Amino acid sequence: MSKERAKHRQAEFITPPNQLKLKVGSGGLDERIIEMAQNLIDKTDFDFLPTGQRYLTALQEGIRLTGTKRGEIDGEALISTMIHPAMQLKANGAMFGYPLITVVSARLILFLEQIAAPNSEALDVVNGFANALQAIMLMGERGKDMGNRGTQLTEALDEAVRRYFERYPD
Amino acid sequence: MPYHFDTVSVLIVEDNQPMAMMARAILQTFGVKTILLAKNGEEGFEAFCKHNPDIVVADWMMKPLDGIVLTRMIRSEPRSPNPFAPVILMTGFSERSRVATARDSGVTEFLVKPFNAKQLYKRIAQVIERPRQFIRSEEFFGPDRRRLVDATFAGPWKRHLDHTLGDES
Repeated sequence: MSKERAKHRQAEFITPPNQLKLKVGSGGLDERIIEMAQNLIDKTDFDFLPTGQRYLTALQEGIRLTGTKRGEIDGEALISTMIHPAMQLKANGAMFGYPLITVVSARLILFLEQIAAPNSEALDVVNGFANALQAIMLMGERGKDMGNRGTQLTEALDEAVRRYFERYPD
Repeated sequence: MPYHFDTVSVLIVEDNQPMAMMARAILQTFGVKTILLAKNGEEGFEAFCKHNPDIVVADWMMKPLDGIVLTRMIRSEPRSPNPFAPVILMTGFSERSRVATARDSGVTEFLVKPFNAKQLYKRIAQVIERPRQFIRSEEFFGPDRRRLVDATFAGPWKRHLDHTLGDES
């Protein structure tokens, strides 16, 4: 390592005073309090579907934009127009009573994270995810225990992804 | 004796109102009395400077300023009242590269959405019980990005070796 580089890597370690610990004390929280807090999540009466539909519309718009602007705009930028609404669906679905939306969106994000450039077949796969999400919302399918329909849906999407990567392994 | 959160203040920075309300309700159930809300990184930094909260819980994706920029401002802006404040970043992303980006901005803990009450509690307990050392270098100021610290080894090559070995802890 050169002297210049060694100097560049020099670091000062600082241990800040732990004021937070002094304030809260020790012993943690009673498990019952955590269960009460979890109940708030499990029993939320917030209707997620209108918000979810907005995110889905943004995803569909991202797919449309990617289809028309492919080759003109950087692939990463186009993928981000789809990945951000997908991330919102993944993040919020299960928080507000729709775990199946989270399961499907998480798979979509994984797919979008792996494709370098969105070709037309990749967009077909993404469209398949968007259609599945639309069907889940229209049916009000929460998918708390996945169920047969949820399992069939995710298996079909996994199969579409598998076929895509068989064709485009890189 | 259990934790007493009644004197602790938490700033929630989240543009999704239902999510902000959910996080607030969970923290209230934990016993936190002072909870401040902001809708984006810009508002969040103003609230942080004004109230100097004990913990910041911020979403990643927000406009005009996101949770990563907010974290950098908390760590490095001269106006920041506490550059060591613990920042818990909430996000739907869990990919390794995204976690690394968050870590490199100075985030203390990472909370993947959807989360449950126990996961949020664990992140808070983590910043209370195992606060990270801070590192100041030419390239970085923030919590030590390595979770596991070998206290027995203080050699001058430690950081270089960690880098070489690809330490991700």
